Amino acid sequence: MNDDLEKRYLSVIEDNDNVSKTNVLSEFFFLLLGIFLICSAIYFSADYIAGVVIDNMTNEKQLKIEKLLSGDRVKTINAHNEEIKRLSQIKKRIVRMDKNLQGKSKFPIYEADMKEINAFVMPDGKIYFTSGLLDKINDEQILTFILAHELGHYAHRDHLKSIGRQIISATLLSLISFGQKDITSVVNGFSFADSISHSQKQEKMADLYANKVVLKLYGTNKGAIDFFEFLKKEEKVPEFLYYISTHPSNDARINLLKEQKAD
Amino acid sequence: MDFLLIILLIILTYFTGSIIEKRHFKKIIKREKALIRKPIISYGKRFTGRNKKIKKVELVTGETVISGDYFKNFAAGLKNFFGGRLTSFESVMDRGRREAILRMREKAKKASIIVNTRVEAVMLNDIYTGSVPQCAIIAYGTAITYE
Repeated sequence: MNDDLEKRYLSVIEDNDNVSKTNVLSEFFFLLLGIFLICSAIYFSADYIAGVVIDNMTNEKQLKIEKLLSGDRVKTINAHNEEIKRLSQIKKRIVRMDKNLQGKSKFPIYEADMKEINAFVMPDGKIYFTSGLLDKINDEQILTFILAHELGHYAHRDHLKSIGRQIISATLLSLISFGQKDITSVVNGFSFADSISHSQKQEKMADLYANKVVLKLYGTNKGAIDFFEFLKKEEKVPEFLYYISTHPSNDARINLLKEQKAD
Repeated sequence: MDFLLIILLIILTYFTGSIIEKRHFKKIIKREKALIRKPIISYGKRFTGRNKKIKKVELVTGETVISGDYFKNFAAGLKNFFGGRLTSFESVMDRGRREAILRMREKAKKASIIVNTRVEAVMLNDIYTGSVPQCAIIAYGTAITYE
């Protein structure tokens, strides 16, 4: 009798029913997958809603919103007046080519007092070329490509779409992660990855737009390809870092341009 | 960058947590086997051996404060959203309870029986303020030693 009791005690000690036999790690991955699916659904619907609303927005409404968003304080200088004048001429030619750019902003071009090689467009259509870029690049084809790329962002209404999807997704995501720091950090991670892929997609579309413009104006996109070759040498960024960058890698961009030319 | 740090912490604490937990369970099982029926534990007020003369009656307690590792807390945090059993905490609670009872029994090694044994648990801090969940478990009872 006592031996039986002893055996029962031992089996209770060895075989613990209070702890589930499920694998915690696999369960953890299932949870991550669940949250990932929810986030993806939210981003997909935010993308769709923002796309539909903004694509169907009237020009007047667009200009009104852009006016509200404009509040940039970029320091400008006038060191490359000639290039800016040249760019303004090219701009007129590009605007004439695309209906989406007509009747909106006048796209004034300025020189930003920055050393890095960059160009950017503000929500209200102001285009900035950095003095670092104008110092090093003088080729008309390349400048046209860069200008068309920035105008491409504007023509696709990328700035408004980004803001729209951010507002929608941030509202929905804050609802699901409300008050729970673990879910918030996972959601933030997914949001970061999503914003990168979204931004890279926008850059790709702007590149394709600019490539079309350059091909139409000059019949070749050699200048654009040379520009990315030049950037590759200048930046010296390892390829893997582009996975967390808002822009695709220079190699990927060169391939894209070559592919479109082949089409 | 924050997200990468979190991933690194999750991987690291999954391994460290698993090693610590396995070792703890091994120790618990060894101690439990060594203490089989020494003393007998009763969760009720009645006990056998009423005819025997009692030499000593005392209050014995065993306490433990336990917390899950970063990985377990994180997994439980995610589970909060979907609901269901927090399996990552089950092993933590089990370790805590068994450790508290073992400590109580080890204090009453010479006693014949511990009656009216109770096990209680309480949260030590408020997890909603962002701190790590910590659980205090106390086991107590009346140890009786016969002559």
